[in-house]
Amino acid sequence: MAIKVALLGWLSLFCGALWAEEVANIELIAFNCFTCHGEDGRSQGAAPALRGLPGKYVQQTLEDYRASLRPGTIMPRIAKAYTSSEIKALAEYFAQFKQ
Amino acid sequence: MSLSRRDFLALLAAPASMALSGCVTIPEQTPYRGKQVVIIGGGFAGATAAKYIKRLDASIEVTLVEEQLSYSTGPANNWVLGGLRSLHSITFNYRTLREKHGIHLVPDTALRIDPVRKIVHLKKGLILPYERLIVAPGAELRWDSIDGYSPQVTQTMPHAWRAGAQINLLRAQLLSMKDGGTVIISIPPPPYGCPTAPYERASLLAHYLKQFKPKSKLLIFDAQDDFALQNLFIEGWQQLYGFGTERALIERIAGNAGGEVKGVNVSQHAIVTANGEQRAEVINIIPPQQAGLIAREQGLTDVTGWCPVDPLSWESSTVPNIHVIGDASLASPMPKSAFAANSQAKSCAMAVVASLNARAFSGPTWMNTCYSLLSPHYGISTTMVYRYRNAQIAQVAQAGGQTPAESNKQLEAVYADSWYNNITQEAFG
Repeated sequence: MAIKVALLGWLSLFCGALWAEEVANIELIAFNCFTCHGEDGRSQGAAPALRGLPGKYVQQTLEDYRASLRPGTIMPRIAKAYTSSEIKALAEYFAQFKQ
Repeated sequence: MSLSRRDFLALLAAPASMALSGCVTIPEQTPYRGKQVVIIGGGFAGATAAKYIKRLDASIEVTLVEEQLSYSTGPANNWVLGGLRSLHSITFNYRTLREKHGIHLVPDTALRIDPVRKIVHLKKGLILPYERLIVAPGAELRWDSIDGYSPQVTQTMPHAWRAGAQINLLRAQLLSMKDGGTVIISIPPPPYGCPTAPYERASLLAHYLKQFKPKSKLLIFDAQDDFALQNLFIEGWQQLYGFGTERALIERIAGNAGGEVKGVNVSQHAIVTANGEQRAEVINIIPPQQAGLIAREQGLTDVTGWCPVDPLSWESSTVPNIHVIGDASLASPMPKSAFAANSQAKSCAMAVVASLNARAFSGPTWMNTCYSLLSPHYGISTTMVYRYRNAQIAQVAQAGGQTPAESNKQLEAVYADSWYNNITQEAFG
């Protein structure tokens, strides 16, 4: 039974990788944001807390970084890695937290 | 016979003597274990993975095996050497992981892995069964590369690479040195974690010398010809420490100029290079590195001395059901760094939780940022985003890179400090 379940898991994992290679896992992108912006967007330092920020604000800010319309230190370099749809989904992810 | 969750907890609670006397036995056939994950190593990789597995599925039993009761971080140990932070402020324990996050902590050393029976043998006799094992032992120092350098010699020529007593020793040597003395930092060939750390160390030791011992000199003996963020470091050293002038606090002897340290002469308190011996009042030898012992002994490494993995799940390419993350893994083009370890831990946690719940997982993505302080108010960085492409880790072409020339170095120093607070909270808070 355990072997069957595990096999199914790894089989689906493998298939997922084949057709979804370029679709990034949004929750995982958000987890990577936490490293500088704090776990669940609760920052312990000067990096802004992202938790509960309005989705439209986060989306516009990231788009502006991506287009080099907003000055920054590392965010202009990082924002260029993501697509507009990923940025929108990320903004929605952070907005779902209550402040 | 099956091993239930309750049995497993009882096994954990069993005194070591019981296990040693044979009262706890593991059946020959691999039992169904429910959802049990064992993690070896409580650094950034292991601790972050433990927390994220519990976060993603609280029903999974997570056991963290770590021999030390507290952990002093690699990042920020240069800040302690430069007098910016106390050692206490970069030292963490595992109490919150246990009390707040329900992670089982076993203060012991993993001796042997049996991948067929899926059990880990610990030094004190305990046996831990696992469904998935995460191995995160980090990098270890090699003692076979620098002639005459050994664990004993670190008491006079500290490596100060693992934080703790070695950091205190190097700091004490620096404090007791007379003005006008010479400090040597020996930098090994790559890979080591993190690539910019030795140069940050040189910067912050120079920051100390500039304030308190301005007639002194810091010599970097480097096995490498070129190094990460070289142009930014040189520019900063020129501004801050007179690099390239007669009164330079920092001088660097590159690999192609005979900079590689081949040995040490303990009685002369000198290093040995192709150009001969060089004496100094303070000598910091950063030795070459390799994957932690448990990874090497259990067949997880390849000829490089590091552990090949499939980055989709970080499962070992050599042993099934074992995942290797952090410095011990072969994760090129990701560097060995706390940020990379943290990022790998999160995607590994997601993949492991998905597989234990027979769910699909796809689209892993990773990030790395290495901050370096050249002085308390002068920070630089390199950053990169990675995606999973053709079963490999690929840099996102148009993204990432190093601090642009016009960037605000003061602000980067502030964010370096902020980053440290957040990444340590994620791992240990």
